[in-house]
Amino acid sequence: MRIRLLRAACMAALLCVLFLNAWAAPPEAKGEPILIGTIQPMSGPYAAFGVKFYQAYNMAADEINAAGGIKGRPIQIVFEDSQDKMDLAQTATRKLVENPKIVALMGGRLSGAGLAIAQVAEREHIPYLVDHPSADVITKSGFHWTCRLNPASSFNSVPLQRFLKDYAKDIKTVAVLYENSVYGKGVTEPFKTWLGQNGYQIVVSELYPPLSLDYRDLLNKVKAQNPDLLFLAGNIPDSALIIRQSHELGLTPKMISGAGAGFSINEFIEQAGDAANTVFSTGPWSGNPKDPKVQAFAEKFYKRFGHYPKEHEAEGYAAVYVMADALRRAKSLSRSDIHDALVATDMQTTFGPVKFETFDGYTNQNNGLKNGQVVLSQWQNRRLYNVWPPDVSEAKPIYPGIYK
Amino acid sequence: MKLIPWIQAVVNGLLVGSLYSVIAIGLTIIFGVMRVINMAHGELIMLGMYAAYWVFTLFKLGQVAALLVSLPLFLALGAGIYGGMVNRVERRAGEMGTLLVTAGLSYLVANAAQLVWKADYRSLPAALTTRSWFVGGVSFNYSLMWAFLAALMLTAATYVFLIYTDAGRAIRATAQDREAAALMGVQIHRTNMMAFALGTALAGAAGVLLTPVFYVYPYVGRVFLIKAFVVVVLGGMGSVLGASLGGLLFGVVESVASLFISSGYRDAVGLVIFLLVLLFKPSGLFGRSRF
Repeated sequence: MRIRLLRAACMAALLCVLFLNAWAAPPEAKGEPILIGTIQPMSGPYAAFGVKFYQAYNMAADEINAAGGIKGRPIQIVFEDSQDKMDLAQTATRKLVENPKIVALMGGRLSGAGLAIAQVAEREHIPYLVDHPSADVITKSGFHWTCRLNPASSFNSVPLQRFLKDYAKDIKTVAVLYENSVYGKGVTEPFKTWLGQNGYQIVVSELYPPLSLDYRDLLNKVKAQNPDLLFLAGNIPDSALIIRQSHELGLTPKMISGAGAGFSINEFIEQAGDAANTVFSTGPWSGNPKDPKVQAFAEKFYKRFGHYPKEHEAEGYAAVYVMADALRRAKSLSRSDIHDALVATDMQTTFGPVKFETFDGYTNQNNGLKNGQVVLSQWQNRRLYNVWPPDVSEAKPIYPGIYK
Repeated sequence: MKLIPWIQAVVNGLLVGSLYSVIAIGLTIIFGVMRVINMAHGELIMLGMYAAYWVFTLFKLGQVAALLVSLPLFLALGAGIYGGMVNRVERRAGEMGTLLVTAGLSYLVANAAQLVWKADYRSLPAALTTRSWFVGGVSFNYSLMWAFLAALMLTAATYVFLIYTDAGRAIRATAQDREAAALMGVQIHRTNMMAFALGTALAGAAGVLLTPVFYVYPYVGRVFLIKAFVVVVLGGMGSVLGASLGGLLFGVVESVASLFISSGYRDAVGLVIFLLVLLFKPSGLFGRSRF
């Protein structure tokens, strides 16, 4: 008897929960959602980056859905975890591609993962919108199905180059330390070529394996050469560790500059602390800080997630709008029609203008260089401000940097 | 070529090497006494690192507190692993069995750590760890200096224990000849358990000391296990003196090698030493003598 009563109570509770759930369904979601697949590092050492895209994508998708969705249907972003490893990225991409409801792909995070996704997209004929992986090779391989919104890696060091030419003219010797990856090489090798052509002396040039724990030996080598500029390309946690250990060894070049990635996110300043003060970072911007729409986006993002958007969030947020725009213009929701619409994109976003062009060996690459979407920024009092070029700067550069 | 970078490399090598010594002593005691290659040694270091991390994060207490808290815990953990797992497997499946069971344990612990603490890289606040003391252009990191001193004290304490106490004598006797020791009245089971507990505690202590200078994440143990193997082979398997000197030597070689080769090959340098020693001097650089 008692057991029966208990069972009845349980059933009643269960029914209540089910009904409540039905009532709580979101009002604006009408019809079957349009699914867009994305491959991000949701676990592993780079999970912090995956979270940024998760926030940015969902914020944009929620806004689009609240405004009526695409052709009356909501969009939904489907996440697959890659841990930013090339092999896992391929597997994750296949899994998404095999689902016929997934109409397009976006995301990827490290360049290696992005390249792996682009290769699968090319074989499987599915449109792929790149919003962060930056290595030149991704849009320089003649891929038909891949478009890239963010600046290519060769562009990333250009603001730093201009800063060296126009402002920090006393820099003569340079040390470069970069991670041994598609990203590290993609950013650093064009910069090294430029340094060579412009008469700078590269006194140390070293590749290191990502996620090494001890950089003291490497930095000791740099200290022996006492360079004017220390250029770094790496991810968190390496970036913070290198800065901490260089502080510890008493390395005082005139300028330390990272190249986006691990140097332009809040985790960097949290982990490196005051040792990171006045460290520069050259790479994609996070939208024009003087544009009221960008400011509104930043404030709204801050209100929802408690931190200000940087390059990753700005790119991810804009990418969803670019994708939505293509879906809206596509003749049908077939993968090839969406691809045709995506390639023809020409619009304004919070990341600035987006138009996929073919130039200088790039295919379907948004020309971030022409559009001024790369900037030199600097950590000042625990915040990252654009400092160069002057027309989009938010603060005056502190040069020489104070690394004591 | 300037001199200071070389001095700096040697200093860094010695400071980090002292920690390699503590790790390797733990590994070599367990091997010497029981012929057990403890594949889970790295994970014990990892647990020590997390212990120090949490003691600081939750209670704002430093490494001395972390050491005091974790030493008894690790002694008990070591005794538990020996009594509950290694001893049973050894009786049934011999040395190969203990190798496999400790390898299994290492995966279990690392994955459990990932489940509980996530794959995040954690570190202590930079303000605590980046302070250095400069002498003529050579930097001595405070945290590393403290870790170095603590490592020396731990090593010395281990020596005193092994040489001057009855329990230590029993451990040494068992390592030399198990049967003879048993005939002389040494309780082998208890001695083994003590040696395993001691090895575990040293791994945990090394973990605590490593925390301010490295990152903590669930798979960090692997990095140190490989280095510990190199050091143990370098010093002669089972030799505590060899492990202490081998750790310092290995630290210096690693750091000097990356100054004049490339730091990308730093790990390769260690493994090449490993192969060369095994090929040409399999009893280790410091000969056969144990302890």
